[in-house]
Amino acid sequence: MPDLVKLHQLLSEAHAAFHDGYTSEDVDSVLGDIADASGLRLTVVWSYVDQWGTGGNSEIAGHDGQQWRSASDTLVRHLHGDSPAVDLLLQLTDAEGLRVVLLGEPLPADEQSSIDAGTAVGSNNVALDTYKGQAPKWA
Amino acid sequence: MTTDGHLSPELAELLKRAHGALAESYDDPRVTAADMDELLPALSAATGRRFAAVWCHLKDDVPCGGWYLGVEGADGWHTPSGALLDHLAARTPTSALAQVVDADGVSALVGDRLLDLTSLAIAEGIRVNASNIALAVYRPASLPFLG
Repeated sequence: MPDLVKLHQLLSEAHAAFHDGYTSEDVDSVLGDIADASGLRLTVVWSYVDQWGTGGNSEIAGHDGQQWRSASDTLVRHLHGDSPAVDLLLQLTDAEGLRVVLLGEPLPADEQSSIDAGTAVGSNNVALDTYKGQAPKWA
Repeated sequence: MTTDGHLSPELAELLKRAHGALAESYDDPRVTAADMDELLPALSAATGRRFAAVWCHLKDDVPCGGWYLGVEGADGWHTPSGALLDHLAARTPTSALAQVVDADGVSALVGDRLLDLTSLAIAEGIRVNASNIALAVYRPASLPFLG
């Protein structure tokens, strides 16, 4: 059962947490507790991971128990500090409403399987490709 | 306030001074907890309603980050009315709000009731002083590698 008051506090704390960018460690720190409190699996999907860590493009996604969805625009803007905190905080209602507030549209089928087959990095990151040795030259 | 709940000279003067006091939008870092300390205790005293700013973070004992205004009622917290927010942001003429309060009483300053969860979260927040409540202690994310 989601701890909604705790979730409200964590989302308040997370406002603008990604304003200056984020690393996979930041993601674990910020999204890990929010995922625990919400009951949703939240993760950042990265293009790759190499010996230096995660890199390439990244996208915040969440699993609602049935499928992967993109994070809602409201959540993404909240985490980047691109919207007033009230836009997200005052929308939080109950456990049933959480998915609608935090998650958006289902990801395409091929992305669903790519995430499931990806490499877990920390607690809340998945890399779609793994490079051992040097990073790819386009990175 | 006068006995019928309408505009007193004290509240009229306060509203006049408050016009444009929070001209910046929500989350604008130029608005500080000190601004709230200047405005909200007087507004609370003049109206008999408790006004407070709810902040996202408490950093070094100072509220900061995103914020919004709340009005405490017997049934939980409310938003300020749109008329009050417009007045504080100077989006309406100086005397417009006074006319509304004179006609409708101080309830014209109070807006919609916030959701139960929001009121609970505010109740669980950190009461910095009478005018400022922080929802969480600031915890910085690590700086990304920029080299």
